[in-house]
Amino acid sequence: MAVDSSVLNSLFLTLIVFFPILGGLVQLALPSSSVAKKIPHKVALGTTFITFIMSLILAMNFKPSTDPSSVFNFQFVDKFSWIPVLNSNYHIAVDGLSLPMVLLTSLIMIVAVLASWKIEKMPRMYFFLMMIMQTAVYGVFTSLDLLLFFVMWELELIPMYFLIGIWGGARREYAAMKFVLYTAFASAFMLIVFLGIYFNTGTFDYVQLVQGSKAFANLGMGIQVLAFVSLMICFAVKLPMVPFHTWLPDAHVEAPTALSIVLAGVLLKMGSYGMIRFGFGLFPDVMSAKNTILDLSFWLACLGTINIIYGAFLALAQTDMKRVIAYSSVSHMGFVLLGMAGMNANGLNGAILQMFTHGTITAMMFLFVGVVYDRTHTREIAKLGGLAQQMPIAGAFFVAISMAGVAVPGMNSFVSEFLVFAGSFQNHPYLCALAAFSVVIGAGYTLWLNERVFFGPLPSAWRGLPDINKIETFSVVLLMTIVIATGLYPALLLDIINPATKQIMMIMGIPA
Amino acid sequence: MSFAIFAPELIILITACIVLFGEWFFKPVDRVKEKRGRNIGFVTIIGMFLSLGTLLGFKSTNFMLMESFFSSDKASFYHSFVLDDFALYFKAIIVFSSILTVLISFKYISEKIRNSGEFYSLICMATLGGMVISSANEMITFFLGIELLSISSYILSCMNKEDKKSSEAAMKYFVVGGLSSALTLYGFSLMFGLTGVIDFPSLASALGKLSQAPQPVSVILIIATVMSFAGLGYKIAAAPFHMWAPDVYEGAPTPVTAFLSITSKIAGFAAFSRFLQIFTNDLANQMIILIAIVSVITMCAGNFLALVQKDVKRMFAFSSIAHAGYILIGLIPLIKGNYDDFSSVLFYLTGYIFMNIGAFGAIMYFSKHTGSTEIESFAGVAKKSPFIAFVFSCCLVSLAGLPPFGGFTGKFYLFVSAVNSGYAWLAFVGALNSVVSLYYYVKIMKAMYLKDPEESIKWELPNAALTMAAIISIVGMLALFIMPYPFLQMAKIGF
Repeated sequence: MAVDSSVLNSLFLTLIVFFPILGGLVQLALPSSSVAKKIPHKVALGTTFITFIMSLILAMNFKPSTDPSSVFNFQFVDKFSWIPVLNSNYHIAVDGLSLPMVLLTSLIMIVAVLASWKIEKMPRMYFFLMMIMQTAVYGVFTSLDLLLFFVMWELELIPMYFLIGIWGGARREYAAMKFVLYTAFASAFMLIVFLGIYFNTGTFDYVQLVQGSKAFANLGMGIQVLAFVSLMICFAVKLPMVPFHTWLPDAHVEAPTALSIVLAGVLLKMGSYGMIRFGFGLFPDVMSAKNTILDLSFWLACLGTINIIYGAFLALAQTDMKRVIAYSSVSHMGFVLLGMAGMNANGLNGAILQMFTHGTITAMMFLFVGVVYDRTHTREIAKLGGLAQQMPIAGAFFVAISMAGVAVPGMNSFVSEFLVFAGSFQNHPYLCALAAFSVVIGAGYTLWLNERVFFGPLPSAWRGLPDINKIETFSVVLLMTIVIATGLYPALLLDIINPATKQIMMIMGIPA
Repeated sequence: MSFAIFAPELIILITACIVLFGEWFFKPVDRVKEKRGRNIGFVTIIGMFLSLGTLLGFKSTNFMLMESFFSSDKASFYHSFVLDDFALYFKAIIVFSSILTVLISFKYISEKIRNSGEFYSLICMATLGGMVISSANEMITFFLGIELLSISSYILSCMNKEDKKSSEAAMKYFVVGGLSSALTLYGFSLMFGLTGVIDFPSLASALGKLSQAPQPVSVILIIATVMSFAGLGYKIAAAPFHMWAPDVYEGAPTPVTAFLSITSKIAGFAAFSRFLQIFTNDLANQMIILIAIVSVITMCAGNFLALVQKDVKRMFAFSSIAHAGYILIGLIPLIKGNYDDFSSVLFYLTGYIFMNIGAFGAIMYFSKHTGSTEIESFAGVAKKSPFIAFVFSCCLVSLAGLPPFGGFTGKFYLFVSAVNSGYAWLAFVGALNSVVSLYYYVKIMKAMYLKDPEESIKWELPNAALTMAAIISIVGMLALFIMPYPFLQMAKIGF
């Protein structure tokens, strides 16, 4: 199916963004008798599947390379006046930065719906909230209007609160509240910065801001740095960056499997996406300023390295399977920060690719925590062991996933981490070298987890566990195929990402 | 002199008289007390709708009909009563909020209040008071409106005669309210003594000239200003004049609490906005500083004290105090004469109606079934009444200022207006306060959704009126978010 990506207001992207909400409304209309036949589950799967197909069509019709002199490559633009008084528009579009994220979201949501196949508690409400969240995430990744972006950012909050709070584990209320308060507090910073930008320039439009006045460029460097740091704090909470990461392990441990998948797979990327889109796009002078004492790229690299190493050590020390993977997320998201701090095409390509690869790999990891937990009802590593004897296929898959996790060549994580190291080495060789050691720790905690859970002697309690079922196999095969395909032939994604990276470099005035 | 502009008020007044004797009128028609109560409520709503229709008719025909049949004069009673755009908008939202309040309280009134005619009549009277305030163009009419509103509210809050808490609340309200009225009146009398005029336009110019006056006059002027400001501050429950609100809100019958926190608050802001326009020059600048300080104290006091509340009605008292704080921000552009930015207040008040109506409707419905207004007693109500719980949570989300509801847009405009007037720090404080408020609003949602109910019987469905109010509330909130522009256009008033 061909859709012309250059037509204004073709509404194709709008359809993708709001299709999940339509599916969610259908959920609410379902009669209560349909629950027993798993109709809500099927409707949700159908909705996510159709959105996935539509995002594939979107990707196929996307033209990666356009005019080399332009700093934008926004396609599928839908733009309508929303609040004329404030000069705010409903303005959405995709480019090489947001398209991989849209694809990732569509993919992860299918896996998440499949992972919630066993949900029996209020399934209609569950999927309704999940679908609202999907729309909000699409909105975040496609909005080019700051106000619309903020709205979508906040819209994701409430469904997530209920999803963790109702369907979560024992300490779910605490975790849900912590998640909401952290995010809401951080987004107050974002709102203030966006308001400041509006009052300084009179527009919320990203395109106009980049082309014209660049947010605060007319004001002093001090104000620019202040605004930039405030904005970064908001995104850093979501990323999550040490020391703002403490909500993540709690949310992950308490969230149901599907939510962990979405949280790690997609929601964390909202933070890094915001950093690249709005941090780099709106404050190019701040990031590229080299001769100031406040060399921000150095600080970013420092924080990234701390994230990587601190997260990895914490992962090593955990006794709960889910916590290990939650902290490994902290560590892996540090690579995104480090890649950004590289301030060159390689580093940024690596960062964006890392967002995608971490999404796919960590989703599989959480999926397998779910697989183990469903059967044994424990995530305590000490109580597990030798599961591969009972679940040989699951064991085999988990070994493959672990390989992806430690970035073995052939997996897409290898490509992204390599690009990150290659990019950041040029700018921050010492920090990069330090961060590179974490690969060893990463291999340590991943393989050690693998060993303690799937190998060794089998405790008698776990005899007779069934192997992974067809639904789980389908999800993991789907994700594994993508991990290996983009690992062997990264150009599949890099062809889309690279032009966008070059454009961001052009905005920042750095020769590619 | 034209009586025609007084028509909306007249309709309300007539309705008040009819329903006061309603019990007597309807006794031969309907022998069942509850049905009688419902019929009287219907009459009230019809009367209010007629009044609202007249107001909208004035606006939509641009006073054409009125001008062709009566006179084109938009002021009456020797210019003490004017009908400008400001008054029109305030009256429309006051009457509209009264309609919704009556709509959600049908059931409660017919079951718990002994004489429903009295109740509806007093609601009409209080509404009339609010309308008179909106139109008042001189101090005596203004005070008359305030007193009409206040005295009706005192009686309303002790409508549950058997309930000790209700009587206590009414007593407290009466004493504090009486004091505040006295303060306002004393301030006004001093102003009259200084200037010799009572109508607002001449008062404004006379006070403007006085602001440079020597010692004794300027001190008296300050005393007068502070007195009347404090008196009006009580009416909108701005800190530090907010102490009465929690007790009264908790003790009063829930429909009355809804009325106090919605209609009465809107009328209070109408009063404040009228009052503030008499300040010009130096006085205006001092007034802006005063408003900014009071607004910060009010926001913080409301939000931080709400955090520890265990009773929903009490929590909503503090929440409404906090909202008064937000709205006060929007009065700064009014004093500066920037009416475009002042429209953010009108917009916010409109959204405030929708959010609170849904919330109070839900509180009434839940507390009727659980027999308590403690937050803990709302545990698991989402399973028993999913629809009302859903509407309630939407209202809470909107009150916290999160999208996709009108509360977000409203707060956004308020903060924008603050920045436009050069008070960016107020917007900052407001935004941080919104985050604090999220905690206690989420606490209610937590009780409703995350806790398990004690017994698992489903409740009877809410009655038609409550369902309708709930739908109006949620549609209103969504509309204010998705297409705020038409509402903003309406709220933009030319004066």
